[in-house]
Amino acid sequence: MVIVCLVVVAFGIYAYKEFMRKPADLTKSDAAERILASDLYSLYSKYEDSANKKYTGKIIEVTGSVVEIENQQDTLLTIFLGDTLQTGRISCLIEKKQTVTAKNITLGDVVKLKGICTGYLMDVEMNRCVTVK
Amino acid sequence: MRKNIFTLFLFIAVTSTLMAQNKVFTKSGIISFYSNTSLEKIEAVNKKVLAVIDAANNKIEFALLIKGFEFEKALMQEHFNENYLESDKYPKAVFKGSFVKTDAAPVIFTNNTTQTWEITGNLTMHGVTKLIKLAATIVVKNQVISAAGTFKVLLSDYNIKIPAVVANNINKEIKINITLPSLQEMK
Repeated sequence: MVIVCLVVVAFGIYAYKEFMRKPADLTKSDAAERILASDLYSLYSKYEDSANKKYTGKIIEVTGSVVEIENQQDTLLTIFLGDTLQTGRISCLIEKKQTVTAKNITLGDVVKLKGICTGYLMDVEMNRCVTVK
Repeated sequence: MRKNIFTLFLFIAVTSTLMAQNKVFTKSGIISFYSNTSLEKIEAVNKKVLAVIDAANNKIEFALLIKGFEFEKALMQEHFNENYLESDKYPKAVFKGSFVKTDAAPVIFTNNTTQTWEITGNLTMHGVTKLIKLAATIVVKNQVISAAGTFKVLLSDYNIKIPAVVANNINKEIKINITLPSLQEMK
């Protein structure tokens, strides 16, 4: 009887914690893949299906040159990584808590960003990006 | 004569400004939805909506990645992607529509104006294409063009099946808001 009660309580605690679980903190999560921005864009633009299987939904660390910065009302900061030879870019929406740190990034910098790859539209899209030292 | 030349110059200047802004776009549109039942509140937002307004042809298109929706709770986001929208199989949602001409006027980006529009078009999501209607406004203020709209989606229309055990936690019809801030001229 005691064991049954303990199992029920343990399950209850697990279920509650699981229900309340927040999305992972990317500053403390390891990247599943590390890749250059130009290579990631090439893979998505040429082989979208296989790139989706390998990268979409995963934490990816991308290295590349900053080709554009879009800052909307200091809350939505997007840093675009790529190179001058490609039209498409890696569009990295910066995690809200990281916007202050990421604001120091300027055009032409070579940076390393870690985020969740969400797929390919006009650019390869990354969400919740954080800077990597 | 001098007055005529001035009028002509003004006409060319105004026309060229409008022509230049016939096609505008953003990569940072926002789509959010909200479900509120007595059992649970569910809210999600996607801040990477790609949208184009082609004013010359009264057309609008937008596309988004399903995995780009962010929820407060990780479990909700996982269920949304894996069980309800099946985002591995159907990674994108796409809308292609037209501004319905109520008074035969075209969409014109005239500064310091607010226009109200009805938009009709096809929304493809979860492998299903359905005709939907949006109520929308286009605001041009200080030369900045932005747009906003709302529409409703019936989950059953898109074959989105909610398990019986949580059926009462989620609205059957979801109201969706779209905001397209700072639309840029398309070059």
